[in-house]
Amino acid sequence: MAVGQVTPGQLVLSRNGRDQNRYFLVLKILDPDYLLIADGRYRKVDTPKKKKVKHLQLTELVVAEIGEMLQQGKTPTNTQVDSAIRQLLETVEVGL
Amino acid sequence: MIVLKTARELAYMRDAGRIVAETLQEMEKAVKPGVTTAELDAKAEDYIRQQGAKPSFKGYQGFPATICSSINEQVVHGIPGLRKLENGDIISIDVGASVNDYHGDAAITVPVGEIDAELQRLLDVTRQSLHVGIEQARIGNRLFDISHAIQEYVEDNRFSVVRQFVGHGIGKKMHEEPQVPNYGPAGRGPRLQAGMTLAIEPMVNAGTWEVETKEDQWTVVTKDMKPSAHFEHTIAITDDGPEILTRTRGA
Repeated sequence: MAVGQVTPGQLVLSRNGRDQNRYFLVLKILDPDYLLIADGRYRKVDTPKKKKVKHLQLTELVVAEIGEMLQQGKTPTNTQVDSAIRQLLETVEVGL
Repeated sequence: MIVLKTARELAYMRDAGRIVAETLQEMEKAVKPGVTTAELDAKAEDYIRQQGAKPSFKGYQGFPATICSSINEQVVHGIPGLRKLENGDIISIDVGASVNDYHGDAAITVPVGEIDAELQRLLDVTRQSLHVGIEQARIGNRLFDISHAIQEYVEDNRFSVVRQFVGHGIGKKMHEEPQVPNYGPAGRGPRLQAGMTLAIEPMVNAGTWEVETKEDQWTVVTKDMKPSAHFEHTIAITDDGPEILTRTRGA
């Protein structure tokens, strides 16, 4: 039975810390416990937040284009991240 | 923390692994058009209990069955039910069993009746990618050498590897550290040592690598609804190279 894993471009919700209840995209998986996340607004892509996985709620949503860019070693712009999050939140019911 | 197993622990895992492999053999015999996945599940549970082992999946984080049965575009974690297998389907069957609390975990994807050539190629490439990965499970190599070998083999064959679900360490718990992705850069990750036990499990899609989880919170399907295959073995890293624990006696 396989283990579910966080993937770059995945939408996550902060559950603990001063950024509580904000949505972010995963930029990088540092190790099984820590991720780098950004939302393009509160946390910019060039200064992403290092966050513990257990302080986040993971969603099933992944922004494919941003995921692909990250896999190829490219960094998305703040605008791209911000608008991708907004678009996701507007168009879908976020299942947590 | 990665738990290194003692000889006695490996003996339990070999027992559990053998029972898992025999269960899969039973499953392979039972798969035919008209059979429901619930029937397969019942058969698997009976077999495992007859051997004095316990199904590992039943009740695991609320999973309701002994096997995961994933048909066609379903990637993993399909819940057995009343769906009947049809000629031309492929079905992935994932089984875990424990002996003295030590787990074995393995999966196969099998054709139902006659399947088309490209589907058969998907099964062959996925099975072979597992063995290409296992071949890297040697002392001194790094964990991602396994991951990288699988990814390279699959992508050279123009299929894609699932990113969102990965293999895992296994032992007294079914899911232990480390996570074993089926993609990644060679030469990275923890160094492999004797006594590590890993469940290596490439999930390979005919189309995009992207997947999503259905409303039942378990069944994972491909985003483009193209078929997916899954093969898995539990292996131990030994001084003599990788030992496949989930195999039948004499195999």
